[in-house]
Amino acid sequence: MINGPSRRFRDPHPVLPRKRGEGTPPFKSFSSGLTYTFPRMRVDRRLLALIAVVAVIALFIDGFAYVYRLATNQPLTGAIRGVPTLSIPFLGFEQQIYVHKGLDLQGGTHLELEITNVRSGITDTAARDIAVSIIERRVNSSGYAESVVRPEGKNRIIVELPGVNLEQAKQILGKTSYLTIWKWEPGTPDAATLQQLNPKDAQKHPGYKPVYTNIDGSMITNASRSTDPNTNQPDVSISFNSKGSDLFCAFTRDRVTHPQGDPQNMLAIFIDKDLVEDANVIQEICGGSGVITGGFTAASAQALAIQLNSGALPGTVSLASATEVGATLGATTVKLSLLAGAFGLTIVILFMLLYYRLPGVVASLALLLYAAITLAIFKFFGITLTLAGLTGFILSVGMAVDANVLIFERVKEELRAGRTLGAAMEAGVHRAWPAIRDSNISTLITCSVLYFFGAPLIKGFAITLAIGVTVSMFSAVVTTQQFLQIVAGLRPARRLAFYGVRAPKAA
Amino acid sequence: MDIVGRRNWYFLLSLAIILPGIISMALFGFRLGIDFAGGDQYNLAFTQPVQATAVQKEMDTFNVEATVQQAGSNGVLITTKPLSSAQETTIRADLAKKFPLDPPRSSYAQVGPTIARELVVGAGGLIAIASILIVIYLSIRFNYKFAICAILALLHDVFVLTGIYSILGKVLNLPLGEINTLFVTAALTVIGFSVHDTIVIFDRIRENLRQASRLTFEQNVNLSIIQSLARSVNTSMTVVFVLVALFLISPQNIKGFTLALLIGIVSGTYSSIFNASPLLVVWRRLDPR
Repeated sequence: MINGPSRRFRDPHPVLPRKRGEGTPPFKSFSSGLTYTFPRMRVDRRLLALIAVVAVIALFIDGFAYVYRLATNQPLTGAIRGVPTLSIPFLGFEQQIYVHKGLDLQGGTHLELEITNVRSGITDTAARDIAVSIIERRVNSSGYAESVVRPEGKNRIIVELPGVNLEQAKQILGKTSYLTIWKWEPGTPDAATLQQLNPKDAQKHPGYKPVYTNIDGSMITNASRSTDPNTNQPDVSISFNSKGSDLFCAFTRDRVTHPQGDPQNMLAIFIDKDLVEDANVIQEICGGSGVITGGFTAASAQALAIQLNSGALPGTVSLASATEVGATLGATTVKLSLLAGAFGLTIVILFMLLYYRLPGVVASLALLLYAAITLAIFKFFGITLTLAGLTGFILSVGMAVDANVLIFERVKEELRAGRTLGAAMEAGVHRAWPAIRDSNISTLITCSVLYFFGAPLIKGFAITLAIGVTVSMFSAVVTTQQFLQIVAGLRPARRLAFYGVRAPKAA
Repeated sequence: MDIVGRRNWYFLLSLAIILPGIISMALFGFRLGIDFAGGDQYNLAFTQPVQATAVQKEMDTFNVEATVQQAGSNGVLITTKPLSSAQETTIRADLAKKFPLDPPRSSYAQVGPTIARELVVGAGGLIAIASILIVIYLSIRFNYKFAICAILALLHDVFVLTGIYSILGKVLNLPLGEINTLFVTAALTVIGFSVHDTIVIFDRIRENLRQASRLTFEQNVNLSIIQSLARSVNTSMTVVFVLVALFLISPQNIKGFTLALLIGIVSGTYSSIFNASPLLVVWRRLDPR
């Protein structure tokens, strides 16, 4: 009988008094795919090999920074140069492997922009995409590494600028990119022009200077990629408002009088200071719309169309939300989280060792492997870790421990009921499984709701928790179980005292 | 131990915690963070101690409905109504001139009114959707009575958490009791944990019920709770240890988050042991089919 804690009810049915072949086995299957017939499971070489392979891959990815340092002849300590990239050329595999830290952990500015008053004749999403490319251009030309500009929802844009404070961010985004059209005239550019335009671009044609035509981006009503019906080549259609149309008509009429190839025949499009297009004028373009042809690929035509549109943003871009995190604050948060994680892991391991003895050692090993696998997944798939994400991870450690606790409590019961070590461990895993499965699936359900409907911050939490929970199920049912079976096979490990159980009285 | 037999006392204890919370929520509502209310928030760190009152006096000159709260001796938390870009720049420049600011340790957030509205709708909806899906899953795995009792325990935890936060934020007027996106994350975690805990005990009941037994349903539930007790307490203790550590060392801006997790996990453990399973017994008595 059970020598459990004092109870009011006597348990007339010790948990596992059934013998093999007697009645229906209480738990036939783990899941649809894995059918375990009761007490047939022993150390499984294939599963052990699987654990070993997973462990080696995980440790390789976790330690990849060192491999990368060795491969690129860098010292093993100190700051790392470049981003560790793992490439396997013959498989076409190339992936940057490092922990992507969110802005709240590395410091920087996160902005959410909203586009309103969208110009007529253009959809919200198209306006959003144009604005994304304009902003991307501004951000990139400011040279900030690892910045992100991406569309969000129908009319929002998210901009993330690591290591940039809000004032700098506003300066980067606040300067309107300005499109101007110039012509080339004989002479040399004066100081004022060189100030206004990029000197290299302004001196592109020796002996000629750019002269402003008074046509700017605000006069362009639309530009789009099109196809030349005669040659089937991609080109760019452009249309002007009435003022732009008149100016463009006069300008092109004047330009076609010069022979092709002569810079004076050319139309120079500048965005801010940079020359983006220098095209020949083939005929006068009056009536408000024209086509720029010649030498485009589909992609370059598209790019030019976007740039022409970008002379003026397609609507009003306003700041919907902004978050700025100081660099030191971010680093402090990381330090604290790591400290908490290490502290938590230590407590958990100590607790497991003291309370569950030998199985506690097994669980600690399984837990370390679990942490290594999860971290490797974060690194490999480039999952951005934020504070909420880290919390999700730490919580999943708790759930991984829980799976082990569930199993060991059952093992103890089975041992008290007088089962042999191997059988008790097996039964422990089997009997704990439905609880592990159902509780973790509920957590995964919550995670998917959060992921699909939640705000970005909540998404990060959901992803790390879901990964953690999934890995923890593998860890509990495969790793812990196999390790336990190995331990059960070792002769010195057979003393029940190692399991925190007194030997059952002879029945 | 007879937990099921004393169930009414445990229900009473839960009510004693939940009722003041509900009253506070009804009368005072929540202390909404800028995520929900919209507005600007400066979390400023200084190189020397600065009094919140001094900063408050300075902020009052801008007329932006600023509230300033002390956050440690070397920091303050300033919340204002939504600022224009120009206002924001002016205020920051002014504060930098008058106080020993430490920008690398500071943070700032601004949330416009449109985004705030979306988040409010989103947070409530998420809890509802997640609950419905969990009910469906548990109805398949157990039956609908188990599923509904699990959700009642879950709601218990949500009410305990939101109630305590309403009291913290509005009655005690602590910045700790602020409802923001991180709080929603904490609440969702608690939901996951609460259901997790409840399921472990339900699984035991399911298993014990399957074995032909001379025990009554009530005895069976009590036995199952006691059989799972070691596990429930052990698991929660490890998580609580980690969270207490996190709470003590976490910076001001995430203290509220760790506290919410802590309250929620404790409540979740309590509700799965003392509420969810005894509720099954109550239901069985009312409807003995």
